[in-house]
Amino acid sequence: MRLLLVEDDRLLGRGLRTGLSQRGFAVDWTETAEDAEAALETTAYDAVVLDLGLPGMDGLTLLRRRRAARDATPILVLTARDTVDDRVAGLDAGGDDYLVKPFALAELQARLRALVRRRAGEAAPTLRSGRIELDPAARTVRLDGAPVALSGREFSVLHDLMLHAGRIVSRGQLEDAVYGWGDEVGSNAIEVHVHNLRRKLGTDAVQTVRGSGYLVPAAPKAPVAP
Amino acid sequence: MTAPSLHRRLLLILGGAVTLAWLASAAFTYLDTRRLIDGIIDAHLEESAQILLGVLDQSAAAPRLVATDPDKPLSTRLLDRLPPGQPPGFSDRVEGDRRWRVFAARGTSGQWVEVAVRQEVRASFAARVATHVLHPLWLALPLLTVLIWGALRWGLAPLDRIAALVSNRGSTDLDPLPEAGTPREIRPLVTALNALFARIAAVRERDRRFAADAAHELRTPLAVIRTNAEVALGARDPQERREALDDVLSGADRATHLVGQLLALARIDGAALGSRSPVDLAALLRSEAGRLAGRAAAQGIVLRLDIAPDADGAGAAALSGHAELLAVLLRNLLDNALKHTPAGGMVTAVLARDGAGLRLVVEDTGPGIPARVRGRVRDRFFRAGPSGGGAGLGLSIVDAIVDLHGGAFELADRPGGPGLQAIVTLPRG
Repeated sequence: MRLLLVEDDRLLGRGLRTGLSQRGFAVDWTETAEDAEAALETTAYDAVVLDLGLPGMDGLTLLRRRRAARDATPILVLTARDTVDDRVAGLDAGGDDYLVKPFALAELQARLRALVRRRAGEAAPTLRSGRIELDPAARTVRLDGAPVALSGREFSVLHDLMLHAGRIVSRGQLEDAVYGWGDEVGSNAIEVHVHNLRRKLGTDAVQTVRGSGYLVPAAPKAPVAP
Repeated sequence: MTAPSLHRRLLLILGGAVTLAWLASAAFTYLDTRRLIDGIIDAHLEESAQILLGVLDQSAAAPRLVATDPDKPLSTRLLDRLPPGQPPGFSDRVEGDRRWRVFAARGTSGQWVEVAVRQEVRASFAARVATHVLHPLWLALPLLTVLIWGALRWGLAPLDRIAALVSNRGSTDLDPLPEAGTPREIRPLVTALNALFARIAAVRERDRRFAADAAHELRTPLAVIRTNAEVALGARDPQERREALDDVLSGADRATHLVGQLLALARIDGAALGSRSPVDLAALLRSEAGRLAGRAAAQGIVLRLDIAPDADGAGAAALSGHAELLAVLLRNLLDNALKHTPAGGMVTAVLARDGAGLRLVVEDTGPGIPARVRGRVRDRFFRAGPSGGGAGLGLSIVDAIVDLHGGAFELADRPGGPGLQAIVTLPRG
């Protein structure tokens, strides 16, 4: 999952970037709302972590502008202000969730996973495709109920494919989802990860669509009551 | 009751005034009655004497009329001649302890008739009339007192109402008192009270906002500490753990710095009441610059002091102030300049005499502060740039300390290049 982190405090930004990366998020970090807006114009993010107190344009203004521009990227607001009025203002301006400093990193991660899940239209906390079950919170993958050891990147590739199960995801999209700014991306990095996933989960786990990208079959929908 | 009571005072004044007026009218009545009675009695005396003379003139035999009993208030005498010193007509005479009003007239036969009345009769008659005028006062005075007392209560009710309004207030209720319907005489008091309420409310609001801001500002370093501690715990790479732990320390330093700044501000508020002593600003500047010399060198910045001879030393150049706070002022200015100056830059502090006071200019070769936000950098918690660790309190502290010493503080562009000039002028105090 690729996140945009907007935080002007260097120490906090660095800690958040590292802490979120540890849990498999690909994090792009900007220190101003102006840079964040430019990044949001060019890159598709799964979620945005936005600090409200920013120099120059403030966070609330950025929120309003993104919503006015019909950008539906989930935005989690971080702030030092915790009165009800502040929270209401943050949510009314278009924030999807709200976290007051100081917060537990685990809670931030959980809230981000929930935001991304809701965006993908999933209600269940785990994702399924055929024999594979992926738990984003525990960062575990099971094949027929048996745990499978995946590297962090492999997990992130599979997570993104399963979030878009039944749809084709291009190599570029996968690179965006797995790597943040400054991460070195080998030219065949995604191919290597997909190859490893197939080796560990079976060859049909990830299908290649020639010239377009990759696809994980959608889980069969539960039969709809007549 | 030791507190002066307006009510009692008015009661005394009004009661006294009424009593005095009544007594004055009684006295006037007494005097007036007496004058009237004097006139009437004199007329009677004269008439009686004339009648007597008429009777004497018509009677053939000369009656030997003897003086009447001198113990009676009226006395009539026939005399061959007037006693020496007594004029004809009206006169006053004293005989022993008796005082008489006398009228003497001479008949055609050459005899004198003298009719006299005791003065006491006249006085007591007038006194009785005056006393009659005074009588109702004894009855009316208690009644009047009650009436005045009631009238005062009624008249002073708006005061009581306002007193009740104020005394029933909670300590947080600082809404203005209603001015409409307040009597003109108490309106200045109500207006002054409302102005006081407004000032207190403003101070309270400022303090409340400051406390809230301070608490919020502490949240960010706490978030830094907490997040980086979690990162360190979750790190598998020793390098990553090390960096995170370094940031935990920096976060703790920042929280410490913020608390120090907050305490400095609290001290400034308290110091307004404290006493001043002579301060050698040049020595303070040397000592503060000395403390920062190591940091400047580590950052690759030249830190230069330029102290004019006439601004040096404890004697003529001393100013009266709070040494501890002036040290905080210097530290904040130098710290701010160092923080914003890139490696290879220079920070200069110039101290010189300025009239009777001192003028300090701290200049850096950093990016300066854009004119559009320069007015706001003294606001508490305002940061001109991204939060690089400062709490946004440095310049507000400088401003408050300068203010406390009755000086002036301004910011300007460094002449001839990018950079900031902080100019502080302090009177000798």
